[in-house]
Amino acid sequence: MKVRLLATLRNITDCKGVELEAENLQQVIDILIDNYGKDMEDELLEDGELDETITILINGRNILYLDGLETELNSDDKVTIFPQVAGG
Amino acid sequence: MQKTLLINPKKCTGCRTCELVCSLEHEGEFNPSLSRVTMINFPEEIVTIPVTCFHCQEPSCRQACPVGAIEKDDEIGAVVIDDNQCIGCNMCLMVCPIGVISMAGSSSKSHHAKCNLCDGEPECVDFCPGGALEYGRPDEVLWERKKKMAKHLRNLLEEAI
Amino acid sequence: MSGWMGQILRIDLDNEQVTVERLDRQLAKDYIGARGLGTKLFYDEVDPKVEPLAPENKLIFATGPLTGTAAVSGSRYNVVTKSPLTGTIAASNSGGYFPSELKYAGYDAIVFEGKAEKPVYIVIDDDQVEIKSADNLWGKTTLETDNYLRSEYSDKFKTATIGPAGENLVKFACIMNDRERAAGRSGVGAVMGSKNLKAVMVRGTQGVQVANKDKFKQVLKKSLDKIKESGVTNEGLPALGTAVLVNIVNEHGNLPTRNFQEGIFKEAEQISGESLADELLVKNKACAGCPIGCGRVSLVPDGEYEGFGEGPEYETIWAFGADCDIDNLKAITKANFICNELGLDTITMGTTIACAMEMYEDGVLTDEEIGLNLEFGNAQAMVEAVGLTGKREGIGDLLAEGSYRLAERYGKPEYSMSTKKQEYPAYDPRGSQGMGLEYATSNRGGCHVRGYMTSPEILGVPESLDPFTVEGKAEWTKIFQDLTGVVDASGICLFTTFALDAEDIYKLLESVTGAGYTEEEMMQAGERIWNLERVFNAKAGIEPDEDKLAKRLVEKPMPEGPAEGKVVDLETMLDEYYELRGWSSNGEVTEEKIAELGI
Repeated sequence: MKVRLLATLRNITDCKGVELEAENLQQVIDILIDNYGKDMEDELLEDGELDETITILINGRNILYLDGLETELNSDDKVTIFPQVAGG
Repeated sequence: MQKTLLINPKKCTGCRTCELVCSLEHEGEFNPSLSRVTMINFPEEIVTIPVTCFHCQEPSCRQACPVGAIEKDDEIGAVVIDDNQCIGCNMCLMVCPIGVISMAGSSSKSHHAKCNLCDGEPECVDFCPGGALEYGRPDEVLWERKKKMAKHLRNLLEEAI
Repeated sequence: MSGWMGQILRIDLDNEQVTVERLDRQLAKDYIGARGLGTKLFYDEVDPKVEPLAPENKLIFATGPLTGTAAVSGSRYNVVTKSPLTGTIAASNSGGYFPSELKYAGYDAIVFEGKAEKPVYIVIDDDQVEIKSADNLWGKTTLETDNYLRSEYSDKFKTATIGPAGENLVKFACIMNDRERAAGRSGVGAVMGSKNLKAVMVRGTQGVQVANKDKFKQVLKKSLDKIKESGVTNEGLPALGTAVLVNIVNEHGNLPTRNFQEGIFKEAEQISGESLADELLVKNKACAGCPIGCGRVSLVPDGEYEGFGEGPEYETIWAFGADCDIDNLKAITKANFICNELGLDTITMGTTIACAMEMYEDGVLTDEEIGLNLEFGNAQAMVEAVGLTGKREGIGDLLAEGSYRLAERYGKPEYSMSTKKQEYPAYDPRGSQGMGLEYATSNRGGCHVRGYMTSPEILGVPESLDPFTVEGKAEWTKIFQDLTGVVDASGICLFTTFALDAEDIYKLLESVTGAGYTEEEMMQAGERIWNLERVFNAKAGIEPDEDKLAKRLVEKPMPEGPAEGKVVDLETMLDEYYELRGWSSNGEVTEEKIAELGI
C-alpha cells in the first residue's frame, strides 16, 4: 500500500512516501521505524505509544474515528501520516 | 577568554523582539527608539540586520570621553559608560563609527542609551527567536559555526562518493 | 495607561482637520482594542445604513493593548469600516511593523472621516500630523508608493497604502502595510480609495507602558516556551509556512477544487508548502515581536512568472491553484505578487476567477464577452485576469465586483461560493461541518479567521473532533469565535492560539494593561465584540436569514474522496448555535443579551 508522509516528516525520509506491505497500522509504524531509525521513532512514538501529535489517516479518515492502530488495512488503502501542523 | 556578542544576520527574521525586550529591560517600556539594539530593514531585498554596540577592542568612545567615564569591562566584554561620571557631552555619540550610542529617554537616569550587555546576561540574546544574536566566547560560538559548515561539506562528500 | 496609549487621532479629510481625543478607560477595557475598540468607535459614530463608498462612511485603523509589545506576535492592527463587498462590518487584520509604529507615535487608533478633495497621503511623526498631496502617487503600485515615501522622508517611517485596486474601488481591494502585509479581506482598500486617501506613514518615539514588568516577563517566557514546544509553531509553520496545509487538507478530501465542485486536487503536491520550500522559498519572514515567522519570501528567478516578494500563503495558493485547477506554483506566486502590488485580496481574487471559470465552462460567460480563455487550468489567463481586475480593464471590471455580483449579474448567484457576498477560504465544509457553521455565522461573511474550526476538525488542535459530525460543534464554534475576538482585539496574532490557550492570553493582557480583568471578563469582552458586530449588521439590513451557505454545500453531496456523499448539516448546528448564543430562535440578538453585555 501507499504510505504518504507530509510536512517535516519528509526531513527524515527525504521522500514523499513509501510503498510497503502491512496488515495493520502497527505494522506500518514498525516498518517505518525499522527503515528510518531513531529519528522516525522520536517523531512517531512517545514512551512506546503513538505520539498524540501524530495524525494518521486511512483513505483520508482519521484513525481516531476508525479502529486506531488496530485498523485493518487492504493493499489498495492509502495511509497518510503527518505531525501536528497548522496554518490558515 | 572574553565573551562577546555575535550577530548572525542570516538567521534574523526581522521580528524586532530584540528591540522590544531591550527597551523593556533598560527603559521599562516597549520603545524601539530607545533600544540599544536596532534592527535595520532593507525592504527591497527583504533583509533585516540587527545592529548594536560591537564593544570594540579600541573603543573610539572611550578615547573621546573627556572625563574618562567609558571603560571596557573585561569580565563581560562590554564597553560601559559610568553614569556617575558621564557629563552628557555627547562626544561618544559623535565619534562612534557604528552609530550605536544614542540619547536616552527623558525619564532615564542616564544621558545615553548604549548597550552594556545587560551586565553579562543580554536580554536580546535570551529572547531572540531565530538565534541571530549570540553571546559567548567567540571561539565556542565560531566553533559551532565551523562545525555546521563542516557537516555540510561532509554530507556533500558523502553524496559525491 | 499601560498597554493603551490613551489617545485617538481623528483626521477629517473634508476639512483637513486633525484632532486628538482621549481614549476612555472603561471603553478600552470593555472592548480591549483593535477589532473590538475599532468596531465600538465605528458603531457609535456611523449610521449602519451608510453607503460604504460614500464620504459618510468612516475608516478606522485600530491597534490593541498588546500591539507594539513583546507579547508574542504583538504586531497587529485592524481596519474597521463598513464593507463595500458585504455591506457588513469589516474588520481586516494585518501584522508587520506599521501597527506597532502607530502605537509608538502615541495612538491607539486613527479615525478617518470624510473625503479629501484630491488624492492625499498622511504623515504622522509623533504628534506632528500632515496631510500632503498624493497627486504624483495616484496610480502607483503599493511598492512604488512605499519606495517613494521612504526616499522622500526617512526610511524609519512605516507605511500603509492602497494600490491601483483601492483607487479603482475594486470591491475587495486591500490595504498593504510594510509593503507586503495585507489587511486583506472585505474591501477595506476600496473605502480608503473612496476617501482619496492613498497612504499613511508613521514614525514614533514613544513607549508602550507595561503595568507589571516582572510578571509580564515571566508570562512571556512561559508563552515562548509553549511556542517552542509546539510542533505547530516551532517546526511546521517556520519550516513550511501556512502552505503546509495544502497536502493535509487535500488528503482529507477538503481542498476545494474547481470552484468547490470537488474536494481533491490531484496535483496538490505540486503546489504544496513542501514544494514551495523546495523550489521558490528564499527565507522566512516575521512580523514584529513574532517568534513563529510564518511569512515566506519567494523568488521566481526567470521566465514569464518572474518575480520576488512575500508569499504565497496557503489560502492564496489554494485560491489561484486548486480552486482554479492550476498546478503551476510559479504562476500562483506571480498572481500573489501582482495582488500585493495592485492591492487585491488574494482569496476573493482567486475564488472570483474560479467562479468565472465555471461560468465560462458552462457557457454563461462567453469568449466575446470576456476576451479571455478562462478555462479551468489556464494559468496564463488567470494571471492576466488578476492584472485586469486591479485596473478594472476588460473582464477585470466585472471581476472587480467579486464573485457574487458577477454571478448575480447573469442571474446565477449559485455560482458564487460565498456567504454574505464574501467568498469562502480554502476548506470545503462538507468534510468539516463546524467550518460550515463558522462560514455561515461569521460577521463578515465567508471567512476562516473568526472561529477556525479546521483546527480541531482537521488539525487536532487543541483536541481532535470528528469533522463529519455536528454534535458539539455549535459550542466549539461559539468559544472559538469569542476567543478569536479577544485575540484580534488584543493586538496579537491568531496563530499564537495554536500553542497558547485563553489563560496564557489573559495573563499577557492583564500583565501589560493592569486593567483588572478576570479571565471571565476577558472572554466576555470577546462575546461582546461578537454581538456588537452582529447588532451592527442587523441595523445595516443584514438579517439572520443571511446565515446560510452556498447551495452547493448544503444540497450537493461531495462527489468523491473521504467526504463522499456529505453535505453540511447547517440547520441542526444553527439552531443549537443560536440557543447557545442566547439569541432568539431565528437568530436575532435579544434585548436581554444586549443588556447583559452592556452594548
